[in-house]
Amino acid sequence: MNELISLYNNSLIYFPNIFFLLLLILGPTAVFFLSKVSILAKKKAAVYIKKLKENVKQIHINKKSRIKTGLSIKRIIKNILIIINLIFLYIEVKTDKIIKKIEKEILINEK
Amino acid sequence: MKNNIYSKIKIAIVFFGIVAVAFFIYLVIEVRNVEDSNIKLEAQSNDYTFPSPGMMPDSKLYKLKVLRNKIVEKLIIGYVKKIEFDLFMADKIIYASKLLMEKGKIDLSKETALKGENYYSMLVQNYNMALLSHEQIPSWLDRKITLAAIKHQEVFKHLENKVTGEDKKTFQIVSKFSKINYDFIVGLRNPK
Repeated sequence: MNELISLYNNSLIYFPNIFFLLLLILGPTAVFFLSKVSILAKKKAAVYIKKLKENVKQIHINKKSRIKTGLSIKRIIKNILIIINLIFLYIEVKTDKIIKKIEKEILINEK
Repeated sequence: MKNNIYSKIKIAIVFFGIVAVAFFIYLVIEVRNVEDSNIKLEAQSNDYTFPSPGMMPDSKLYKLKVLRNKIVEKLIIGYVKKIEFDLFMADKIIYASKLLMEKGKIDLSKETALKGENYYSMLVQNYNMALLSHEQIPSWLDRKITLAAIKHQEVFKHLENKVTGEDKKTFQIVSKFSKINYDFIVGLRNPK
């Protein structure tokens, strides 16, 4: 940093014309570059915002469709509970059948 | 059509970029040379040469140069570098005064000598500020300040002897200012 400040000061003191010439060349070039970069950035930002808007729209549509088909979290939980209940009922029926089968066999054996 | 313009702009940017880099390299090399010569000065005894004054005060574009110097003065960072700049300017302007006298332009020479000594007065102020802000003044610069004061007084004496009457008085006053300024610096160096 000190070296850079020293270079800046010395060029100002001993070669002011070259310093100002350099500034004159670099200044407009830098401005041109910055304007180009800003235009590019604006274009990229516009594309990104467009994508973002589309995503938001899609999410909104999905939400609506979920409500229509009954896929809200409440419904999903309810459905899961119903399925669990059905499984338990199935197991109950199955065990009842097995018990009845065993009872029949015992009765046959006793006879 | 649009592509053609863009390619031309690209070529222009590349060209300006190359020119800028070339100027920058030149600047770095030249600045290094100046730094080396400043350090070498410490080893030399009484060898003191004035820098070339460049554009003279009798030029039509001299006002532009004065404006440029004022801008440069504002842009310099640090009191030590400001001292260096003031000394450089004082040397240049006092030497220009001598050259103007040789050209026979006595009035302009008097005015220029006063302006040159004014830069030395500014140097004294910056010297004081550097000491107050605890900035280290390099020994080669201290030596250069002393040598410059001696050389300036020699030039003023030389100019004094070339003129008579009121003109002589002006150069005597400038010489007196130079002595006062140098005494002030000596006082700053050795505070009681």
